[in-house]
Parts: sequence; structure tokens; C-alpha cells
Amino acid sequence: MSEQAIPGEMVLNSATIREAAVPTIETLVASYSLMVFRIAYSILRNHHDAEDAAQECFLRVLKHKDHLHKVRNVKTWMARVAWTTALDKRRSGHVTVSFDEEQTGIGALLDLSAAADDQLESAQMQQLLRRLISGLPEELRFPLELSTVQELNSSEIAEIMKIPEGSVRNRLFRARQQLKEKFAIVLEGRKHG
Amino acid sequence: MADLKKNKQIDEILDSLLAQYSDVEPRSGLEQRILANLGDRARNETVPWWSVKWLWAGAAVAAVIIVAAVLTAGRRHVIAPIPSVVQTQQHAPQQPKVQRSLPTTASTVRHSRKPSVVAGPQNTTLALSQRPAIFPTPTPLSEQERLLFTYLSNTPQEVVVAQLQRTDQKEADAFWADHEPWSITRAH
Repeated sequence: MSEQAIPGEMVLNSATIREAAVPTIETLVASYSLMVFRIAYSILRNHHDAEDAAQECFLRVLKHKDHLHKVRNVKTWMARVAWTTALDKRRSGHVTVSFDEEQTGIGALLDLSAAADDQLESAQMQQLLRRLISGLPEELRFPLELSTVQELNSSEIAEIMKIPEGSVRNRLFRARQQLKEKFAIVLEGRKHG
Repeated sequence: MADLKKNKQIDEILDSLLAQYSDVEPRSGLEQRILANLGDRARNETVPWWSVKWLWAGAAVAAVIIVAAVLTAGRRHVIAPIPSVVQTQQHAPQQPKVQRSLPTTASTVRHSRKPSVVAGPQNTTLALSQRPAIFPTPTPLSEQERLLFTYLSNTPQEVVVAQLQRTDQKEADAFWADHEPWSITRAH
């Protein structure tokens, strides 16, 4: 008998399925709605779009509620569904805020920093960080975005992205290195006026 | 030394910024909104798949029954009215006039036949009750025919035959008189 595909593709053979009680939709919403929202927010950077993605995520779960007993790790499965849903939403273009990749150049960053006061406000720094992250290649950006969600560690990110945990650590390190380099340039620019 | 300090400073800034990057709280009542949305969706999908399947099957069966009924009724209508059309045309001399006055297109011909088909059973009964015993139907004699008939019935047969022979002889003489060349040839 062939296993039916469900979102997240975290389906195991019946031999490895736990005998634990199958979670209900209400339980999943109560346990993971915040995590799902934050994952969606890390990608979409907008409250409204993140909430839409969270709704869509649970609708996808509802469609496959009959297969919930096949899920081994509910948390990572929910995280993967949320991640794929948010990515689909961002790729579809139906998002309120879209990243402008052309503005992520160093020149734009220097302008932003020059316009700021000596003590940059938190909002401006967050905007700077968002632009820096959006300028990263996808293979570095995705694990970094997921790592910013406090509920997820590197092994869970590895399971969500279907890559080895070592790759996740490596990519996170490289992503941080690139961000630091860009930050250094921005800070140098501020120093020299 | 300064580089290390600077590097550490950047690390701290980056850590703090990344910690806040997705550390956001949704608007209050997110769970309730999600559950309400799921409830709405579930209510919309309450019609189970098998009931939809049965609906389709029922519709298909009904369609088959309707088609069969229409075909059967159509066959009855086609067979029954044929004699009635013939009979009603014989006993109702007005009907052919109406048909002749109409333009002879296919649509009008079909249309003109329709009333007789629809009123089939009544016309058939009427036509069968008035059906003549002799074919073709006898028609009344004209004035000349009636005079001739009276003359023949009152005159003896020998007189009629003699008169016919005399008439024939007269017609033959008149014929030969009109044909001059023949009379010349005979004279020679």
C-alpha cells in the first residue's frame, strides 16, 4: 500500500509510527499557532501576511487530518508546513511588503546609515538587518530566517529543510559572516560621515 | 586588539538584532480566528464525498429514464397517427386547401402535419366511423350525364345502335371530304 503524500512529507512507515494519541486540530492550533505565525513572519515580514499564512497553514493541516497519525514529529512537521506555506505566499506575490533586492546594495545601506543619528533607533537597525538578510542567497537566507524563530534549533531546521544538520550549521555560520562583513562596512561608512 | 573588539561589538549587535528579528507577537485572538476560519471551512465541506457521488448517480439514472420515456412516447406518436392523416384528408376537403395555400417548405410541411398528429385519436375514430363501403367514393352525376342516362334508359337498344352507326357514317364521310388528296387519288 502506498503512503499518501501530505504537507511536509514527514510520513513514516507504519512500523515506525508512534502509538501516541493523534492530535486534534484544536490541539495543534493551541500548541503551534505562535510558532507557525513567527515562522511565517520571519519570511514575510508583515503581520497581516503572516497571519494569512498561518490560517492557510492550518487549512492545509485540516485537509490532511486523516493522516495525522502518520506524523512522527508534529512540531517539525507543523514548522515545515508553515515554512512551505509562507514561501508559497511570498513566491505567489500576494504579499503586502516585498523586498526590494536592488536596494540591498552597500550604497543603499550607507545612505540609510548616514541618514541615521549617532544612536540608531531599533527600528532602523531592524530595517537594515532585513535588507541585509534579503540580500543573502536563498541557501543562506532560509536557514537564517528559520533560526531567528526562537522555537526552532538547528536540528529541527535541518529536518524542516531536509538537509543535514551540519549543513545547517555551516550555512548559518556563512550567513552570519556575510552579515557581519556588511555591518562592518556600514559602521565604517558611519564613522567617516 | 581593536579589530577583535570591533568584531565582538558587531557580533553583539547582530545577535541582538537577530533575536528580535522574528520575536514578534501576533494580534490578540489569533487562535480564535484560526479556529473560526477552520470551523467555517469545515462547515462548507460537510457534504461528504459519497453523497455527491450518489447525487451524480441519481441524476444519471433520472436522465436515462427521461430519455427512455421520451423515445417510447415519440415512437407511439409516430405509428398511431399515420392512418388518421390519410382518413381526415379524404373526409375533410377544407384541409388540403389550407395545406396548398401554405408555402411548401420543409418546415411548414412538418408544421402542417403536426395538428393532425396531435389530434390523432379523435380524428381516427371519426374517420373510421365515416369510412365508405365502396372505393372510389361515388360522386353525384352532372347535368349532361343525367340527361344521357335518361335517354339511354328510355330508348330501345336497337334504335341507339342504329343511331350510333348513322352518326359514325356521317363522321366518316365528313372526314373523307376534308381530305381532298385522298379523294383525288381514289378518283384516279
